[in-house]
Amino acid sequence: MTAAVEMSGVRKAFRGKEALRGVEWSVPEASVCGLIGANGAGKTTLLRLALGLVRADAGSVVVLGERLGLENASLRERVHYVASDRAMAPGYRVDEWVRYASLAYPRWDTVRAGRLLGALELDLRRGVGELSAGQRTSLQIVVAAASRPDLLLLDEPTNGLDVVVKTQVLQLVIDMAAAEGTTMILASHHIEDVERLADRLAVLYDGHFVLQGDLDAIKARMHRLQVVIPGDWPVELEKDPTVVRVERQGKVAVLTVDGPPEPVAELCRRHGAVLVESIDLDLAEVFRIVLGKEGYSRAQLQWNVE
Amino acid sequence: MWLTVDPRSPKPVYQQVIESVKGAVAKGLLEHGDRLPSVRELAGMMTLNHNTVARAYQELERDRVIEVVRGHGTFVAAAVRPPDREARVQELVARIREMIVDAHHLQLSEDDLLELVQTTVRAWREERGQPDR
Repeated sequence: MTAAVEMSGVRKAFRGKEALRGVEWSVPEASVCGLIGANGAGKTTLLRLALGLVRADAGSVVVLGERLGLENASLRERVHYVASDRAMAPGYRVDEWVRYASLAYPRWDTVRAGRLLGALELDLRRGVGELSAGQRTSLQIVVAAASRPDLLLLDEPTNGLDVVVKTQVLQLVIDMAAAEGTTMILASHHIEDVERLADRLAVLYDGHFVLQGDLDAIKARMHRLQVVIPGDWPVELEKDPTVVRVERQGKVAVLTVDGPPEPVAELCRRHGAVLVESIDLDLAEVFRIVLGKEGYSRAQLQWNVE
Repeated sequence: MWLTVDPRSPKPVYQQVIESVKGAVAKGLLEHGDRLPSVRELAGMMTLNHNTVARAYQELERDRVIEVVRGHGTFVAAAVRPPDREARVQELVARIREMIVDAHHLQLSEDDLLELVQTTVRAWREERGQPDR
């Protein structure tokens, strides 16, 4: 499988402060990669690097097979960026904005643009400056979809959208990915959106990735077991490298397992466990555990899990 | 809608799609020959990643729950004995064993547990509109 985005050893500092320090990232073509991280983790910097808006201080950035350098004009036609807080020239009307965009993208699909403007109820005569935050995002999505990009970068696309528009926007994005195999990177701290849309996940913390891979594999990687062991507490359990956390209250213990749960369950039964049951462990908790293992304070993280 | 998926659940989404389709077939909501939405349609309807839906469909096809007729669509297959039936019966036994342990901790006797199973089967049949067998 070829990669739509390939970054290796990427570093970037702003005014002496390192925003990215050693990013290794591969986003396969036709996948939707969720990019997760607390504010200031470096998400937007990564997206701007992929767009060619900023250059890396070190390392290589390859987008759609092209190594980013000084001249990437043709690439700009194939990569599109949507951000809820992106500045848009307020002097334009919606129809003018769309017309100028149509001139910039050779693959522009006029029929699709018209259909989506109607579906998202955007008033063509309104000034871009008068639009609500949600309408501005909708307008950007229309332009993105009509330009038929190979790579779509979405930076917090659902911020400020009401539920109805949000669903429409997500459906539109999914349909683009399904129909045309558009590769997408979705930076968001709405975990539910990421869990719906993404098939891959990359967790950025403090300028580098602490976890990345197939979303379902990440979900299936960690397990939590509740066990009741009436006798002496078996120290072997604490020595098992896959047991990453033990919380005990008398005979009852909750074990967090990074790996297959069956061997640990079996170990518990051998030590006289009268109850071994698996309990739910959601993705936000998986992140906390991974980051905790990396030595980061859990208090510094804020996930919007709604 | 016969399909329910909770993306927040720890269970992988493709697994939830598989179980939902199998459940709908078992309940009779979907029958042999019924057409299922395409991967793209279902992904759009449920706002789910299309690769995830495609993966679920692939596994359902391998398990012969659905069949893909090229150029026509995806349909619910006729019931067949799955090829890995023995292994899956063993998994079922393991789950029953877990139930027995749970029942013990809830201070249910063996008879209570069996009665609970019967009541549940009866309720299930009534939901399907076939109270007696």
